[in-house]
Amino acid sequence: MDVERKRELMMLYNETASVYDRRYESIQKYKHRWILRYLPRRMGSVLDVGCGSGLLLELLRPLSARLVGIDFSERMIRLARERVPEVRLVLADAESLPFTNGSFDVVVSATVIQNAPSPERVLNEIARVLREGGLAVLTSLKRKHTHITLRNLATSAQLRIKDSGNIPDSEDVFCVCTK
Amino acid sequence: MVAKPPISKELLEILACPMCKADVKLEGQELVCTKCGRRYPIVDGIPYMLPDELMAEVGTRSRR
Repeated sequence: MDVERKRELMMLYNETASVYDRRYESIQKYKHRWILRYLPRRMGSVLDVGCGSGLLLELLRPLSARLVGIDFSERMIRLARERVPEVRLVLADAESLPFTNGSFDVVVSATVIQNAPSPERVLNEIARVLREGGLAVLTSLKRKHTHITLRNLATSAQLRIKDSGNIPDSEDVFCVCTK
Repeated sequence: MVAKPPISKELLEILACPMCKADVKLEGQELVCTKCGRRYPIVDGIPYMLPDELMAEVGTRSRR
């Protein structure tokens, strides 16, 4: 049934891609600025898991010359292509990342993990593609996770917690961790 | 004249098969897993690297 749910989500994001920015841009940008507080000013390779229409990629662009975004919605990834044409994009699923081990210095993911049928798999995949010492900054919806359950997912994936909590005035919890 | 590769060398170096995680190689407009042989199309410069169960959804419908 996981596959069914994922297919439905995929279709939903494809159908709503065009209205997504109008509806969520200001909410998402607020969370993105929160994520940015935990990131160095200059980064090596960075992966945005579930980049959607590329709002966060746009913010990250000045901070990394090796930026990659993945999303499983074809419509979303095409919107991202229009927004940030120079960023490398891959149509891919957060539970099955198409990257070799240790490919990234930094992984970010904003408001994505709550949608995964298996958040454990997403965290394991994020940990796998991070290099030793790499940094992950993740958020998920409060209605699905507390920052403690998000921490526990990261810990189970052998990541070390640096910080976690509620993003104030927002529907998300966050977790900052290293490998 | 040599045709421009559909994706950058830098991206190709870090891409892996989403199913078996082995390296992939570029063959024309497709990426091919060096282990299981699965093929992933590159559409307008974007590698389509979904796992089997999701690839079935977009693979045929969206490719022109």
